[in-house]
Amino acid sequence: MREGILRSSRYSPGNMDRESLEALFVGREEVMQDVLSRVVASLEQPDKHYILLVGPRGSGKTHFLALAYHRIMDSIKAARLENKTTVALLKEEEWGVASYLDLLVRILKALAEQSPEIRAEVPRIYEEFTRDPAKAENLAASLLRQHTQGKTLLLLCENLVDLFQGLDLEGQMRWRALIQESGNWSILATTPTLFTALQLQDNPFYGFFTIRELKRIDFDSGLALLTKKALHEEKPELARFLGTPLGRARVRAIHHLAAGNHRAYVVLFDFLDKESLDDLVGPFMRLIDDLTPYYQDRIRQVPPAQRKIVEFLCLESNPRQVKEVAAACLMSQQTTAKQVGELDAARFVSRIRRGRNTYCEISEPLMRICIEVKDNKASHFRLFVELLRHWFSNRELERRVAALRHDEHRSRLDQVHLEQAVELHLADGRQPFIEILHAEAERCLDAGDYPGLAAVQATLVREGGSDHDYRLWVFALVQAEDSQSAISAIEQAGERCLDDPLHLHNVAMAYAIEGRPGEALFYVDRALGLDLDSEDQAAHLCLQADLFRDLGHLDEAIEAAEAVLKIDPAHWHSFEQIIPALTTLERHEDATARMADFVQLAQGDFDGLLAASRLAEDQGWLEDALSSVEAALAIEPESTNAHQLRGNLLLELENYQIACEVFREIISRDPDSVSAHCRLADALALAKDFEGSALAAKHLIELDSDHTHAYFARGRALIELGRTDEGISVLDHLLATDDYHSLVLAAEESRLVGEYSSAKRHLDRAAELEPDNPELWIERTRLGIDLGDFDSAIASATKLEAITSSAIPARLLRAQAQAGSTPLSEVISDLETDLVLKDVHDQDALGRVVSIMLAVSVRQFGAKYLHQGIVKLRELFGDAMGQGVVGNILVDFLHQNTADFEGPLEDWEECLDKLARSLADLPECSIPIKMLNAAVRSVKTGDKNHLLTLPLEQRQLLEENLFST
Amino acid sequence: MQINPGGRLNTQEVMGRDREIARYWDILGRQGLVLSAERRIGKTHIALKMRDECGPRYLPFYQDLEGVHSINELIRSIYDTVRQSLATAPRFKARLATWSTLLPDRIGGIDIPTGSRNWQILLATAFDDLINISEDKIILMLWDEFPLMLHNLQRREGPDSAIELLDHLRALRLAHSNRLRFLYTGSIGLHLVLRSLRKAGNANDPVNDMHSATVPPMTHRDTCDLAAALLKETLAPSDLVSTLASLVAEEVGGFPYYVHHVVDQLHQLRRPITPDDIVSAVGGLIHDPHDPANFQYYVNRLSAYYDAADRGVTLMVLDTMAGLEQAAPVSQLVNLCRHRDPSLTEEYVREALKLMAEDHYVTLKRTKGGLVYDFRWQLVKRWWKETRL
Repeated sequence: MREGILRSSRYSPGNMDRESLEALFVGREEVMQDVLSRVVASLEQPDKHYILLVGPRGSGKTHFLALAYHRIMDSIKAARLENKTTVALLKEEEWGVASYLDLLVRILKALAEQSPEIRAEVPRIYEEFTRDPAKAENLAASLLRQHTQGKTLLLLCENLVDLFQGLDLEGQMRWRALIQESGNWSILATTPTLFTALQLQDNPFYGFFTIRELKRIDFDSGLALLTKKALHEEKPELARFLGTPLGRARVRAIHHLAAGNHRAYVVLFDFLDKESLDDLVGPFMRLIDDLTPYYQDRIRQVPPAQRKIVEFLCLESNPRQVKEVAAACLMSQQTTAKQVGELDAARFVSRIRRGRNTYCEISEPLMRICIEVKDNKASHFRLFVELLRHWFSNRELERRVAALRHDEHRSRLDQVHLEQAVELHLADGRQPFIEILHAEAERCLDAGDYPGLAAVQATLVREGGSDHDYRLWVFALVQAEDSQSAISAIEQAGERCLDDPLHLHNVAMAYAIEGRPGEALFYVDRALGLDLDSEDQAAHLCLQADLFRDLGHLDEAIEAAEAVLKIDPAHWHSFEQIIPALTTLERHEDATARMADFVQLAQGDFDGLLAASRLAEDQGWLEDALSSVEAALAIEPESTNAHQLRGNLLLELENYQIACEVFREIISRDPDSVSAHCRLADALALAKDFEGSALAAKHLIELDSDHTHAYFARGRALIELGRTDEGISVLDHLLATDDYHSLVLAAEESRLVGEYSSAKRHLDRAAELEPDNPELWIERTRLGIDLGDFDSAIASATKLEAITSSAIPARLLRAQAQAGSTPLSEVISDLETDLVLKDVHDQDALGRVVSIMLAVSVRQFGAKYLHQGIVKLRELFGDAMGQGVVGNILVDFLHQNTADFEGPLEDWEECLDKLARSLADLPECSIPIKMLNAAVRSVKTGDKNHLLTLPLEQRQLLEENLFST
Repeated sequence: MQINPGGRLNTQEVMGRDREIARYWDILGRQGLVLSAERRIGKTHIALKMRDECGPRYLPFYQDLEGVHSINELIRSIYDTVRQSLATAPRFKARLATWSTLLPDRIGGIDIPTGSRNWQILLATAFDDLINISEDKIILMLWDEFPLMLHNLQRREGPDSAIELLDHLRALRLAHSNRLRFLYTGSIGLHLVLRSLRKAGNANDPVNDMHSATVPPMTHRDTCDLAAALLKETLAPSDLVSTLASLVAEEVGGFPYYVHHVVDQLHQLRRPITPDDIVSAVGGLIHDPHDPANFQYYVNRLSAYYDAADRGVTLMVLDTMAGLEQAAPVSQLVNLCRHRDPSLTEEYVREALKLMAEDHYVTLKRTKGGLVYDFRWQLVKRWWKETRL
């Protein structure tokens, strides 16, 4: 097994360790998967693939092959193919193959690394060669056959073009014949360029290989490579920086110079975190030292005429037409075109066709280095000047030039390059650094990355940005909802752009988001004072309506929204502004009329009807909402959104069965619909079909394992089905989530079935997330009461009172808790009657609260405090709450858990007797007292016949409550 | 079935050649066979499939002779191949021991200094040895790229050696007519090598006892089946596979290599395939400036193997034919060619067509209206039309 020793290498990636190869592999995964699937198929089946990766120098071929080798070896192990495979990896520097025999020997030597037998036999070939070269060839072929018999021979090799040159035509024929006859070869090779031995039909290897091109890496892959390299070299800060728009701008500069060449990216990586000029110069000089011999060697390999063309193009910064190249190189156009074609094939030069003209340029900008090193006349490196122009704005370059002029210790090298960069700007007027920032800004805009856009625009503004830069800066900050920074940017811009209505809109938005609607209105008014087209006017009026609404000026808000509707009658959002405002102003008839207008206007318009439906739902006009959404569905019967809304409305209208059908219908058309499964689970639970609900929730979990409500719905359904342990176990999934609301619901569900420890777990987790949420303390109080831990319940209720604006619900809850430790009459006396009556408008709700209080007391003390408590209740609340309330409280009390009726029967008889007397003047109480009497006697004596004194419906009610268990 | 342009297929997966192979077995039942076709048509796979699926009457040996440059190498190669084949084919293993005992002596005979002078004896001995171990079976030598070996031999040892070998092989076939069959395949036409040998003085026709055949394109139905099998490996929508396959077959013709190549291009799109993608992929093959299908070969080859006069007429006929939508009878082709050169005789055109048919440029088809000529490959015709007309 080949073991790498390096973690990073510019020129010998084949020597890198596996981890580094994996970590730095980018942009080629698809090709890799294709190659691996072919190679593995070759190893497992009789089919054999011959794959050739074609890519220019520095395109990552060696890296690819080295990583492919590791992955192939893994596959061989995983598929247990060790005994059916033999792998020959020809080393990166195997370019010295001189003949067919030499190739066979090298393959044998590669195999010999794992096989001592072969190692022992290779010397025989050398011995034979001294006697008869032909026999040596036969011996080598025979050894190869012998040692690979019954196995697939996988050959991995680089630089196939060089290998073929060494083979010559006869060698190629022999090799192909050997491959054909053996039938067990598979090849994965690389080459920088295709060559005639593969391309011409009368050559043995014509069409032999499946070609896969390793294309130049694009910007995104380049970015990924540099980011991975930063992480690999343990520079997390740099990796993070590269994720920012300014970091990406730096990468764009590198991308310009690297021109998609893998190696160039790696070489230029060192520049990425350099900010100062001094920091750039050192690595650049090292870069020159590193690259010059490499590129000079490459240029030396091409014929003189081509070398001349390469040198000319290296000195030109822009693409040149062939005729210009011809004139500069003193060649005919025909010769030049032919040479350029060959240079293109060899990937030295790229050709660009524009209409009838062909332009050419050097493929790798870094190649310019070696020409400049040779050109002693030049006092500067063009590439470095280019880098400076991509790294700094012209303004910054000028500032540095000025600073150097007054620096006694200035470096001549720095000054020359900076001055040249400034001069070039004067000549061509370009600012590459600013162009890069603009490109990055455009990308952020397209991607909706507004914080990123804001960062880029801030830099552009710092570099003397235009009005447009300021505008875009404010826009980005507003979109990013960073209103404070937006206002700061607005202040920095001063009076700039304030004649631009769009900018004024953004300024107004900034103040609106910041919660300063008054200032926002000022800018909207200023915009409305400009000469606006109707579309702009509508936009400003719409914003104005929102601002008026926020300021509580509802009449003005309605007026502005109505003005928008005059310009654009189909501006549905205006109705969404007008109708709630009318409702708040209690102009209900107007609100209803405008709703009717809205629906009328939206007839035939699917989106309008859907908006009308949603608005009606918000207003609580559920029937109207249903009617609108059904009209929308008549237009677009396949709309999932509309079906979903209809289902939700039916659910709210408590039409559970049809709601279930709607959600099932959505699921039949879109089996992966998460929202439909979610609502179906709820709808089925409400329809008491808990089996169905559990199943729907299960599907929902399969679709989206992070869907917290799904766990709640399934847990709830299982508990309702009596599968409590299973249900609690499902609810426990919520403990790992941040879904506060579901956690509290789960706690309640657990408490109601007496699973108090589960309830406590869920509440503890909820408390970690939102410790001051009232829901949490309500549920904690209830848990305390149910547990009989009244002190804890009282403490929870006290906490609740401290964190809520309205104290009454907390006090009522505390009273429920106190009933477990204090006589009822005292608890009721402590309630501040006036306050309670002022705050609680709903008699039924108050009745339920009090009935719990009675139940708590009875559970704890039996009949002891019941009579006094009810008398006190009647005294304090009876008259104020109207007729029938005490009777209702008694009925509610019967619904509570009173099954035990603590204490001896005599106490209860006495209590009930007293109650009958005390409440004799309240006819509505006579039936509840009779029921209570029968219930107590029946429970205490165990004789159900006592219930026979009651009519059927009352009897059934008690039987459900008393004997259901 | 995996997309594998240029690679080696499991012979069980070779599609659409059953009809041809059955015919070739019929021919081999009575005489030898010379099969020719250009590279990548699938000759080798046909030969290998015949080796792997041959009946009990035969003892087959496949050799790729492309790498053989001398007669001694050929003899050595026969011994090596037979040993390899016997070693790997379970049903012949019993014969391996016998053969292995012969080898040192025989190879030694080749290696002695006089070996090259006595090759006739050595070759005859080799076949005698083979016949001896074959018991009652017919030896079938599947010699791939046989014309190329002759070409190499002619270059290395001179035309006389090549002529002598051909004669000797003919004599062997006659001597063992019931026990020995040869199947020669070649990507350069044997007729071209023979023409060159005739010019060097050989008046014989050393393969006139063998049947000559050209590997035809796959039928439209078979091409569709192949394309459909390959398209199933791509993201082509399953309900469109048969339509797309038919389109590939129409655009490419029955050349399996191009079918693999085009489907490979489609596979690399990594998205559902549309009919337009097929047109683009084929268009890409034709218009790619790097000419990955090497269509230019069909033009260059004329310069290499045809004299100037033949070349002129041939180009004229091919240009004319490329401009026609349908296959055309000779009379129509002659008439159209005379629009360019009024002095052209019908006989001259007929001779050019015959030569081009032998060289796989054109094909002769029988239709209701009589015999008509067209390009053998519609893809080449399209390239010809779009780049030359």
